[in-house]
Amino acid sequence: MTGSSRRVFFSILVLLGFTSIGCCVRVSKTSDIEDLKARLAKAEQRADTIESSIKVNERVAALEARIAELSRAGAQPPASGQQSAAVAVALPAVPAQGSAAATPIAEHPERRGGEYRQGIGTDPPSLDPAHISDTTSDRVGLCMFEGLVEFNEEDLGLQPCIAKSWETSPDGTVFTFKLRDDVKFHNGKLVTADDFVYSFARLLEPKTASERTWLMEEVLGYKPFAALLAARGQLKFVAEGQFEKVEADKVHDGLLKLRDVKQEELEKCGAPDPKGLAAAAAKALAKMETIEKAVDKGRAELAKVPVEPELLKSLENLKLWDFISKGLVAPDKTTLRITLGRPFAPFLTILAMRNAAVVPKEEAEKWGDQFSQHPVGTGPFKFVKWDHAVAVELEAFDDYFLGRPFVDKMKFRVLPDDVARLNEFEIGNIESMNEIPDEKYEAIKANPNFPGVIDEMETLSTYYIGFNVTKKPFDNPLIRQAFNCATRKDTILNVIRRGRGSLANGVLPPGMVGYNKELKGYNYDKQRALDLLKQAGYPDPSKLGEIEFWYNATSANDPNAKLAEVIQQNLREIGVTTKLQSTDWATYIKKVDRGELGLFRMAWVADYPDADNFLYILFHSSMKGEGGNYAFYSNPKVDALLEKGRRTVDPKARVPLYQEAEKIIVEEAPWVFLYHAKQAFLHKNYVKGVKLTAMGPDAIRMRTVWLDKSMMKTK
Amino acid sequence: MDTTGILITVDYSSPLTWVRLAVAVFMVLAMLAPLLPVSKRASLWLDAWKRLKRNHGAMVGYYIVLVLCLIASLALWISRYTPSYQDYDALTARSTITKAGGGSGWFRVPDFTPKHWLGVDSLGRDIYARLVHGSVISLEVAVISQGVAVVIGMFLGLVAGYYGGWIDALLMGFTEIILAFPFLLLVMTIVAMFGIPSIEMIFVIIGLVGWPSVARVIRAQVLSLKQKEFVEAARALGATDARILLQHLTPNTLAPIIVQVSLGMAGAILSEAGLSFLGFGAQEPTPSWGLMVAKGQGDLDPLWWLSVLPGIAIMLAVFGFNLMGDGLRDALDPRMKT
Amino acid sequence: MLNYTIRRLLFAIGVIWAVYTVTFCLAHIEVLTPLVNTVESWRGIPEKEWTKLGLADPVRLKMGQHGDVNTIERIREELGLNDPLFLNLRAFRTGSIVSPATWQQFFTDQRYKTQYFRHFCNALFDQDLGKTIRTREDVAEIIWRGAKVTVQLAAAGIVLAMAMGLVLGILSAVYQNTWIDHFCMFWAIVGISAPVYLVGLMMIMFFINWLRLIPGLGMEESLLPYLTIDVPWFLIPPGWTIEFQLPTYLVLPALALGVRPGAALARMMRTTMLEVIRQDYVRTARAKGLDEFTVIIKHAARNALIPVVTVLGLELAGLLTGAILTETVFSLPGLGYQSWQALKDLDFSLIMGTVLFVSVIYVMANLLVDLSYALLDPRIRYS
Repeated sequence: MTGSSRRVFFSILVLLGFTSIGCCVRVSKTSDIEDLKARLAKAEQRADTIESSIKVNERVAALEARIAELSRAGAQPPASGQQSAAVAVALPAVPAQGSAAATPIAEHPERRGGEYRQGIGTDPPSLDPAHISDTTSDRVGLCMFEGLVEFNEEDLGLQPCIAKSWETSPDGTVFTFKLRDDVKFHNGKLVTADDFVYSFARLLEPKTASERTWLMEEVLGYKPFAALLAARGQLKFVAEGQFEKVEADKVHDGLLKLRDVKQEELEKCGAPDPKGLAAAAAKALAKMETIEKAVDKGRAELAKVPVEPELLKSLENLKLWDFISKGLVAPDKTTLRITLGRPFAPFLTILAMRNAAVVPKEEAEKWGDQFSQHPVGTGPFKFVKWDHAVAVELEAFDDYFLGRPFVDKMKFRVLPDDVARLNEFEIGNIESMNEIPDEKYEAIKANPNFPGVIDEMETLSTYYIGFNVTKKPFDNPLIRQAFNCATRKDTILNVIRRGRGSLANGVLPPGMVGYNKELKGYNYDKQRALDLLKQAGYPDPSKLGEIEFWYNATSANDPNAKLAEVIQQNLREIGVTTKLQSTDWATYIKKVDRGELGLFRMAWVADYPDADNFLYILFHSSMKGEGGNYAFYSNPKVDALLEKGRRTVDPKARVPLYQEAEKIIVEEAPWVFLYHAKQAFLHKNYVKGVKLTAMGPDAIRMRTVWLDKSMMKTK
Repeated sequence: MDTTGILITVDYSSPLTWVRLAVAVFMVLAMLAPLLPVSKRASLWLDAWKRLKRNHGAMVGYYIVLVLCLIASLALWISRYTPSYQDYDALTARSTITKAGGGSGWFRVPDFTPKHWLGVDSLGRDIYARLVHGSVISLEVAVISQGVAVVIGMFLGLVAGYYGGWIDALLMGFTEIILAFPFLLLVMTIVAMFGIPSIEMIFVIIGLVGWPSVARVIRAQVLSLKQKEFVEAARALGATDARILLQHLTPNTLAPIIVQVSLGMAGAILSEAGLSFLGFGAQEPTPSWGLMVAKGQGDLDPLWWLSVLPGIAIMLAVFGFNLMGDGLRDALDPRMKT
Repeated sequence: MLNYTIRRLLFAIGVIWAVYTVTFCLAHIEVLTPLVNTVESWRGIPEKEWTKLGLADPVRLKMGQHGDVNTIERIREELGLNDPLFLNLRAFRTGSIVSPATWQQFFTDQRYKTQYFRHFCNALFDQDLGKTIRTREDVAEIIWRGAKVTVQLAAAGIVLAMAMGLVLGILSAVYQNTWIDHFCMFWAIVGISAPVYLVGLMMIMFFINWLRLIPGLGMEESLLPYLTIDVPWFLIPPGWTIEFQLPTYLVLPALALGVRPGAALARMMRTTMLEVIRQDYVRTARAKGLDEFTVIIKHAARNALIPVVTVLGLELAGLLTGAILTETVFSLPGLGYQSWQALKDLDFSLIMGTVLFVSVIYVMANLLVDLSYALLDPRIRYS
């Protein structure tokens, strides 16, 4: 009995022992010279980083001997630097509207080579352009994907990328692009206009489930398609008896969209059987109206609403392509024509976003929703390996149409902990990182021996404290103004951001077209705040009661917590008591969406450099809640101005529209306008060719970056 | 200078204040208790107390727990600043961190000052005040979660053990299911899915997930007691089931419950700290020890004491409860002596 | 024995099924919506303002700050999140209740058009745990990836814990009531009380920040110091090398993870050793004139190990829980770290996957412990 138990016990022990030893030993074939060289590089690198590693140095020597031996045996290493000037092709013709063409990468053999490692904070959620919706993914995606146009690095104007030139029709609805014919995908295929049509349609296709459908929403024919789809969804809920999923605002939203579906429009976009569809839409509209009424009375009423199977059937076969076939057209291999349903001024700018990049049809179709794991694009670097939660590895794409980038390998290392990331940087295990913890910033600046350089740039961002203007007591603009006057913005900027940024007078950040220098915001003025409160009927501010201030704090070391505490102190000075409430982002955003919070912190960073991206999304009444208008601000005059700004083609004519809207908004003060942040890019001194733009360090193009080997520490 | 919100002011008109003081007095009395002579009468509890007094480890645990309770009840009087007051001057006074980004650092002498005994954290908040106020949270979680666990566990354990049969099978199956989840993961999932609730709800959730161990102990005890003569006698006298359960069985399960609870309290404090450390427990600005450790993690290199001090506080509290639990087990049930 | 095994196995399967269902309900907290609605109607809240339970929608979280109700709805539809959770009664709304076609339609609907049965059947028949909502990755693949790390970590942790536990336990039992005993037991109880993350952070502080023995956190191959071991040349096939990679990224986490089970083992080992040492056969062994070392190690310790196996089984749960904290502290992409991330992102298919996986492992380990116990001690089978 004891014997068998002993056997069980010892076999477990032996098993565990083998497992742990098995993790350590690796057997590999080493006759391959390339592999040896790679490992030599690795070993040297380690010798750099770990000072006391004699063993490693021994290893380096051994590997070197082995390489020498093998080279003598005839396996000549490929000579580097001999690749000829397949790079400097003739400059493309200056396009119709672009400010300057994308410059080919200059011929500098001495800049070639090296591995560039960046530290990133999270594993990128997705490397599929249709699903990139966060900065980390965007940063990796930037190396692999390119679209028709891109931002130039000087003033964020547009310059051609894969498009050679483009023309816009006078009414601003038809865009005709001429494409380059020498652009290749990483899989070797040439890029054609059809690929662009596919990539854009892919964003709209419901099956893709893209988060960034809104980029292409204005394409002719998409709106009626979306409206019918939305109606079908709600009708299905009722038909299947899932009444709890039917929500008043969704029904209402669908209803409004459905009302816009007209037969003429369906005819214009070339949908099959426009008459039948229009009839179905009318029927669905009537049904939706009944549903809305029923929801108003109570969800139980929905059981009494009959949804005919015929109606659902007539909506069953909605195919995206039927609707947008006239919106996205490729007349020949190098021409692309995009038609919008109505003018949409920021459209060209939006095309420079990562989500509008081109992807090869056959690869995207082959991988489906796994395309993210096997990304293929046209960018300067091609995908090699994604070791999830550890690193993403890319390598230089030799056939890149602007010439091979300098850096051989690009590696994004996932280092979730801020401090660990900084530590790795200091040791020399990464070449650059983006975010510096606020506490460390000053220390780095003060330390002359710090092995790195900080580049800073004011980015297109606005940090704010939002009021829910529909909630008491913040429905009174006087109180909102008073809070604006009571906030010591400079303290916030100095204490929390260590002065990195500029104070905000209004919504738009400096550097954005439409930024109004003359705009007078609110400065700290305690007396004025008290006066305003008196005017609002609160001579004794403590009568406002205890006000909840909400913020989100995901990590324990969150600057938002500091902000909250400063705000609490400021409001205490004018006699208003606040209670701080914090939660995680997921709960927070839900509460904000639903308009549950009266006073909350938020920030907005530009997706694309256009005033529309700030004002329309943050203050248009159609964007209330999820859309981005968390203040639930609504002003018909502002709405009209913003709508007009969207539909005006002439960029100069748009500026006064946005400035006027901003002025009204600042007067009504749905926010406490805090500051525009500066962002830092921390890199080693041997990293050259970095151009920082107002789109932030995440938008740094890696194709021109090179490593100055003479400045690298060698041992 | 306006000191509201900076210095702690004690509101003597609130009954809660007097409750705190009463608890403190009780704790002092409890500290003196081991000095009193024990009466010569022999009874289960007196014998246990005598055995407990002889056990040095247990007494160490006993005093740690009492001191903790005393600190918690006197938190308002022994700390000067409110736990959320930020002293920016202290932050600036802290000499610039010489080694940025960590890495090249070595032991750094903590900048304790007369104003802030244990220094300030990265937000300028007084660590001493936060530690003292954190003890309240830790004791609350210990008491509330174990209270919930005992109420549920006792009821289910008594019923399952007494009635047996399919009720027993059903209840123990249920217990098995809860035990099949890793404890922390289950609590985290509940917390995440319901949205991170108030700290009090987290105490309750820890209790709601933690009852199976109590139920098992009680069931085992009832199973053995049920065969005893005094239960037979009570039944023969015509006592109802409820009466037997409450009057005869419950008092006899007290000893294992006390042991279980004192060990469970240690577990609950650890769980709450762990949850807060992972961001699924107390939220800023609650002065929870686990949260303080997490918060200090970022500054570990030069300012190591920011996370080590609250970590040690957690360890001491758990240590105290563990020692006391071990001692109680030895004292209450000499057969189980290890 | 066979009977007992089958009974236990069936019970374990039942428990796993129940765990699955509970996890599903937790992950789809919407199942409580009708209940909440009822409560809110009692409280007199107008129906328009009824809260939809559950934390934020993971699809909403994917959208960033600029969401759109319709797009969210459409993505939910595509991902199948709009299907009914348990019951799809569509077939009965149009078909007659006596027609077999209706019933057939009903069962097909359950299999493919309800979230619970679809997920359950896919998991059971295809080992397909679905895809994550945030990244559309295969959940089973993610779990496999994480499990590899966690198993390494746990294995190393157990080995260290056993080494620590056995040495401390035997020492304190042999020198019972001396200062060695007190010293060992003091550290054992400290080890039980110390939170894993405190141990981990202090290790990071000492070994990484101060002593700089280990280059950094995380697990990346390029950071691993190599050790070459001299394997005789005739043992290596020409053109191959064998190298010994010391996984430094595992050393500290495994130590931190091993402290608690190690301390528990030490206490258990001491107790059983004390019992065993007083047994007759140990006295006989001594009487035979064997030296003390042989007596303790060969005769006493070996027999004291049996109850220790149980503790090991029980500590497995502790290890898995500890792994969450350890992996978070050391940034190791294991199961624990993954489930922590999944909970933060509310990626419920991943949450379900990890919780289920960990629970299955735990239930299976318990089953094995029970069975091996029953194998060793026949009395248990009949109780």
